[in-house]
Amino acid sequence: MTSHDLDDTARDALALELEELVEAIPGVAHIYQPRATLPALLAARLTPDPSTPPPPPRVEIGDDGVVALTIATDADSISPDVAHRVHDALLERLGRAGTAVRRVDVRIARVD
Amino acid sequence: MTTDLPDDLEAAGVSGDDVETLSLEPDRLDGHTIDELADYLDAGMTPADPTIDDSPACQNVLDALTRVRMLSHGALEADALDEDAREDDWITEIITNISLEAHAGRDIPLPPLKETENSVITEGAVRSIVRRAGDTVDGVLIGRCTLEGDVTTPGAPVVVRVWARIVRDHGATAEAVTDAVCSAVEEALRTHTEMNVESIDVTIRTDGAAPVPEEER
Repeated sequence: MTSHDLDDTARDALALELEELVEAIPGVAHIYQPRATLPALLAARLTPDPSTPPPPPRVEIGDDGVVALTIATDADSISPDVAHRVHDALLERLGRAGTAVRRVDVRIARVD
Repeated sequence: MTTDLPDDLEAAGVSGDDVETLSLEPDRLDGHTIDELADYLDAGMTPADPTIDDSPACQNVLDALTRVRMLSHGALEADALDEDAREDDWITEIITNISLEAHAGRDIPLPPLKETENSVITEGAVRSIVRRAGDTVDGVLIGRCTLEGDVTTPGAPVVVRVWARIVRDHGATAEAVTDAVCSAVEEALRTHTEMNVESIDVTIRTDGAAPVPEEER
């Protein structure tokens, strides 16, 4: 199965599961919202609207088999090692789910 | 607000006004200005603003602003007692640079262990690491730091330049402080990046440092 075969509900459920998985990895301090969602977050702050849908999952599973996320690492961790652990954990979990992964993009945007 | 520019920016034809404009450009800080972030800090970061709390650039700025405020407080108190008190231009300069450096910038690759791995650390994160490491040295605030070289190419040589200021004089020589800043930055970079750091050039300014009484050292 490729990520292209997932419907939106299944994709979001899997992404949320991946979020929990990543948050539990030693050295991961935070997972950030994808930068593309920032305008919506800013708009929601300026004009709060209860009907505004919740922000999308912070782990993006693309149709092209690319999984992407942006994280902060703990200052007392070794950031490259944390990135390796995140990659390995996502690859293993998605493999168990039968989802083909072409690439895992881990972006460290801050050391906390 | 006037801004004293590092030589490299001046040589590139960038004016103080340009830097001021850039530093106040909200897009560089995920939709926020440095003034908004300072206000958020003043308010104890409540009520929580997810557009700030979930922005690495804003978080990097808040961290740096907190350290500047903590260290500059004592220095400004000393200034207040000094008839020849300096203006707080150096604080303005540091804050301007903090906002300039906080944006994500270039993606710096972390060498993969597997072919499916594509991990990077942002230039903004690295500059923040450098700034934090330097700020851990007693009495020192990092004014500015740059990463020179093609950091996007694994293994390419990188020169790290750091401009620092001794804000509170603990009695250490400028040479000792320079060595301490260099060591702290080197260790931080070795821990969090895999850049090929060719050299770390530290320039220290010592003028106007507020003396720290012996009993407080």
